[in-house]
Amino acid sequence: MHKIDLLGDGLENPLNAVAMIHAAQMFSGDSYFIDRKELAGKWPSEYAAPNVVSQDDVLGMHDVVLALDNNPGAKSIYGYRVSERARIVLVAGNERLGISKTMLASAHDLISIPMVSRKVNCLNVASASAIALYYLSHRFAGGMTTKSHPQKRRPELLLIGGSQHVELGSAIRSACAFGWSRIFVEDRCDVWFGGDHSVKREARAAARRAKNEIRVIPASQKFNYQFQRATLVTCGTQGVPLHSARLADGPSQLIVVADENTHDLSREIVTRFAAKVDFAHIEIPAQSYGYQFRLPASIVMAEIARQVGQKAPWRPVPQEPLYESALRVVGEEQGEVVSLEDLQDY
Amino acid sequence: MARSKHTRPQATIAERRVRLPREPRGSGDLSASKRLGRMLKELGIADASLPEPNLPEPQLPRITVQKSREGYFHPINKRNIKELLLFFGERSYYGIRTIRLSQAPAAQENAGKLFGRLYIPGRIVLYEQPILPWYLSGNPTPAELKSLTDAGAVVERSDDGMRCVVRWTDLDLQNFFLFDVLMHEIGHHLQQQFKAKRTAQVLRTRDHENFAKLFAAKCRVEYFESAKTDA
Repeated sequence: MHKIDLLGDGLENPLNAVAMIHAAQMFSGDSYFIDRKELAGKWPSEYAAPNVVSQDDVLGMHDVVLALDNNPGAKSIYGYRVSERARIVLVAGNERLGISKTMLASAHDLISIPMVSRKVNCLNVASASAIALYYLSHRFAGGMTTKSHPQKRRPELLLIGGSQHVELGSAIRSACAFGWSRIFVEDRCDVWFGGDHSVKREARAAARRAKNEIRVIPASQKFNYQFQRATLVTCGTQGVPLHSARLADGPSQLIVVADENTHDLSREIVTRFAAKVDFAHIEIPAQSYGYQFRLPASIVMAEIARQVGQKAPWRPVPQEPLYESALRVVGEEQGEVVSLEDLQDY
Repeated sequence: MARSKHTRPQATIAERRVRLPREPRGSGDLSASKRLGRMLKELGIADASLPEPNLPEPQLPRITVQKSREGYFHPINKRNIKELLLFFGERSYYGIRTIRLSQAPAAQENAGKLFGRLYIPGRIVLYEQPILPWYLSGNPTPAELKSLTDAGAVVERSDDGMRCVVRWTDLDLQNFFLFDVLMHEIGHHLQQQFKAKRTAQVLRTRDHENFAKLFAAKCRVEYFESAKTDA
């Protein structure tokens, strides 16, 4: 597995920077920061100081600079190949402003993570970094598949959240970006649906706008989900590698991702998820790293989005009318609706 | 625009065309045959009316069956379809080329339930269904729920309200497929068949669906009333 370093260019939020450090640790890479927004001054004392460098230092240490940004003309991360001999650094930019112009000018290539949602067109910077590092470090086959009806292949998603409200919020934002219109959340530590968060939730509801929404459905540990198939994804070694798992079997499949700081999926009563349960794991080369739920959750969602695919470009083909008899089912309106403006905080 | 003198009632056209599908267009023309009969009568050669040739047996559409996959089955069979088509007569199947009992397309098997399709012109496909009961993600709309329960289905929701289970008796499901699926698609076909633009849309989708639904309901009533009468 190829080692790739991570550079944060002008980050503002120190917690995002800490998450980026953990993302780099997951893939045995080093992390650096170009401090344009006084990041070092806001650094939380409980974490080791960030490795602050200048742009020239970074360019001197690495042969290839890849800029992770969703500018027009960027290449898709899916199926992107890097040279295994070159020293590569992946650059992620400021949460609001993106990568600086000088760094963009120095970058050898521009890559992006294809978003499914038209409204949510960016991820949390640490989540995006983790996804990019995952795909650059592994030499899998294939880019994003092209299917005529990708939405019909999308599985349902269950997040078993831990004690960190921010981690769950980032994971939900990723779900929205990758095209889910609803997800199940088992909020076992009561950080999303209860406690002080209810105040924040009211504020989010007040700021809600109709177009940028994802429905978050509360689920209970006692639920019997009755899916046909469930895939439980962990950071351990159980099951097949993530890229080999079938993750696009449609709404009869449930993908379960849990915050492994507080929950151990291998100890769950798995039969409550589905009649048939299998496991998959994210191949993480590092033996020890700072675990943050948003990072593996986002990687799983990105891989699901890759397998679900995208619609082929439209070409007008004269077609005869088609009439069908079908039973159309609609999802029950449960849970709360979370708007994009609220998710931007994560 | 004046109605063409060649236009005959749909039932009459169908009755002749399913027996003589390759007959030239003007050969059954009443006006031509009447004119000929009048000429023959004036000449004193023959009676005014010409005898009807012996018409062959009607040709039913080709019905093919693709074996269902494991875990799936076809609620109706070839014999059910033939009996139904013969009951309703030539008008119901004139222009239908094939009726196929097929395996479900993979993209549909988990996203709602696809029962059947009409591919214009004249090709009807009826899809296999999962073994009962059906476990569905989501719930049917109120209109769909009513049509299912009217047809005899029992719909139960799961505890979390996100999924439902649909149960049928074999007979109810068979009747549902014969009338609410097959005759519904034939209703769509009829609207296309007796208008010249057969491969283009001839009505708004809403009107098309309403006609097909009413046609299927009417067929169901007619069939069961006839069964009661025979009994």
